[in-house]
Amino acid sequence: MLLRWGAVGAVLAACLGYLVFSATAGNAQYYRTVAELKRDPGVGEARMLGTVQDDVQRLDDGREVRFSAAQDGATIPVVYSGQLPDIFRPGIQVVVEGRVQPDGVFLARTLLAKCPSRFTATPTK
Amino acid sequence: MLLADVGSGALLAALALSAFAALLGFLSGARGLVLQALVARRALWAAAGAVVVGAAALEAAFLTHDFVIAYVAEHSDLATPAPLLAAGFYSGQEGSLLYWTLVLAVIGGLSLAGTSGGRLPAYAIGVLGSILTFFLLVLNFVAGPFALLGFVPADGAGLNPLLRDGGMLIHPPFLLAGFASFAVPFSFAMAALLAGRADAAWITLTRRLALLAWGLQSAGLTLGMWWAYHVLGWGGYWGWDPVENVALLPWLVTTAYVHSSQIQERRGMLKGWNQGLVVAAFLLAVFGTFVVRSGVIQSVHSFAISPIGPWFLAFLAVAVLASGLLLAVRAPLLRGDRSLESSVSREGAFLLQNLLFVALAFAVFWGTVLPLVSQFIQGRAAAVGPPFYERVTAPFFLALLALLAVGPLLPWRRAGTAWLRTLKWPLTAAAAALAALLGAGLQNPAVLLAGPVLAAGATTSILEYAKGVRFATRLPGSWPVAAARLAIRNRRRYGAYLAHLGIVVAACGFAGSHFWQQERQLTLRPNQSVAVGRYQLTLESIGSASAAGTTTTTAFLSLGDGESLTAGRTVYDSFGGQSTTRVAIRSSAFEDLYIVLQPSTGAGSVNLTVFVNPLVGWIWTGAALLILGALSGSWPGGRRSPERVAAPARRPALAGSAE
Repeated sequence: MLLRWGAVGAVLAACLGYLVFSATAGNAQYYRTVAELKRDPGVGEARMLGTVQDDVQRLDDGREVRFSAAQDGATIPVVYSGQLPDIFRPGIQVVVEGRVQPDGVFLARTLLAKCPSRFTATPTK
Repeated sequence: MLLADVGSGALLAALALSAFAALLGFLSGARGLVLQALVARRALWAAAGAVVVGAAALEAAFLTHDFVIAYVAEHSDLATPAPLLAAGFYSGQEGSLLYWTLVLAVIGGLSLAGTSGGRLPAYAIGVLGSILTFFLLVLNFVAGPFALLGFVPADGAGLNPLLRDGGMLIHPPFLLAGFASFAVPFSFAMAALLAGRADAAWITLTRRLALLAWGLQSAGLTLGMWWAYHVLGWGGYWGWDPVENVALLPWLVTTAYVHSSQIQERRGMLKGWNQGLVVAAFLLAVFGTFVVRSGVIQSVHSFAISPIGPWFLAFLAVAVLASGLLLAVRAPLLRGDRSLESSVSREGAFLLQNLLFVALAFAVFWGTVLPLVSQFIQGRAAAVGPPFYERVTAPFFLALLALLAVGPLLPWRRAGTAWLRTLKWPLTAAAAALAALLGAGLQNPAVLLAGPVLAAGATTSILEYAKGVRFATRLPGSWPVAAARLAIRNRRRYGAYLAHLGIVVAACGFAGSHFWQQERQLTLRPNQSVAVGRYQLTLESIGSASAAGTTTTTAFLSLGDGESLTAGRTVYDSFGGQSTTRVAIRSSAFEDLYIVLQPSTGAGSVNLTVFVNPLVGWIWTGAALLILGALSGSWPGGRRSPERVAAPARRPALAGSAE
């Protein structure tokens, strides 16, 4: 009986292992820094964290947005069209997924805004 | 000033009392001292009372705008309406910790109410007291909610606009309460190991509370999804973000436990496994808090990154070491009273369900910690998104739903072949569902697989009620009364099937909104009309209004059937131009029309994102059934414990009830 359940467990573990391994290989995206992307844009999709700068432009009736994302002193232009999170504004951090185009602009497929690091307004202190 | 003094004094007193209770609890457990154990219990209750006083002081400070307390000034202002003012309590880090401590103290205190002076309850006081002491240490010395400003500001900073919503009143309290209450079964499990008692006494003592913790966490997760769906305006409810995942992990493990604990209660098997699940649920809850509060994993929700991260990491390390060591030392005690007679039995179904849930938990855990693992191994952080989770978890969820259709029909011990006849109903339903789906021209294999499985699951769950009613008709008196009495007396059993039915209904909702969601981007001018799905959407007019620091744009829309909807967007000047949407939702039994007003640059027109979300309402209905089932199963009274299945024990029970 123990042997049988051991076998069931092993089969389940093997299925899980296969699914996890293949899905990880197929979906994992590396976080790349802005400086890295500028130096070597790479070919595949990348995921990048940056702070939205003050130069936010809304084009095409507000559906497309262009801005510069900065991280550790390096900046890269980003263009994104689609639904913007409510809290999107200069100064917040965003995680974008997409790829760098030949003209050096990061074309974002998804844009996630990080919630403000504190759920508060400018401190009163 | 006064409230801050009362609050911080109460928390200090609570710290002293809980540390005393912990020490005395361990001592009386080790020496078998009855009187001292009772004293320790009183001390723990007194600590709980002091925490209640501290929490009341913070709440009072919010309601009376006591802005000299920094936390109150940062999370509310004079204009905050009273209900949200009350919710300001847990809207920040320090307050959430105090709320967590409050739930732990109250539920932990309640769990001790029915115990006598044995060694197991004494040790439980020790463990509960230790956890409470840790939280109170953090509250007193690291993240104090009663820290004072050097001056009294005229007004506070106000609550973040995103949190100014009714969801704020219900989602965080349930989720935090769920997290906190996993500590109670953990404490009793640890106490059982310390006392060397391998029987099901600790399960019986905490069964109701474990189910309550599970119900609270279910409610917290559902309300979180509901909030995300109604407030955030992205058309979805679950994004597989790390912060969501860490709340799901203890739920998955506890779902396994509420099933496998029945095997130990009835058959005396799986003792070590149950201990492991309860320990894992608590450790995952602590791990979740650490992840959420320390910022080690990038998440969309980053809460205050604060000095409490390392404290929780240290606490987690101590808890892992202590529980692992204890489980290893007591392993010989945890052998089952008997072994499995046949794999095709209720026990076998529970065991398979457990393996599947643990596998699910592992997959979600892996995806969540991948950035840490890849950083460690490759030196670069990689992350996975929703496609990873959907691909990995879907087969396991499907297998679990199939098990839900078959498992409840299996008898205990050994199934034989007679039970196969009961399969005819779910199989018929599955065949009918398959025919209906094919008839409707659907070809997606995932849908053709999920549909019949869900139909079978629903049939099995409803069948149990039908059996109950049929039995009731044979009882004397009118059968509805007899059926109701039967359901109330066996509320544990019928609560479980209600929860199963809720799972099936919610799963229909998840599948429907996943497979058939439609999204369209529109730009409309007033009086312009567009057909979306079966709706004729017309923009009637655009409104704009300004009030104290906010500008609100509203799109007044009408549908072909004369019903009107409004979608709004408010921009807050005081929060750096942050905006909130008011999503227009028209719900019907089978789909939601979901309209989000996007920011616009063109004058005289609006940008709308329109979703048609099929079956989303079923998620909320299913979750309500699930929570109702969990509640009725954990309601006091009724049949106290399930009848143990009579079977010759192959080995005598190791631990008697004599203490």
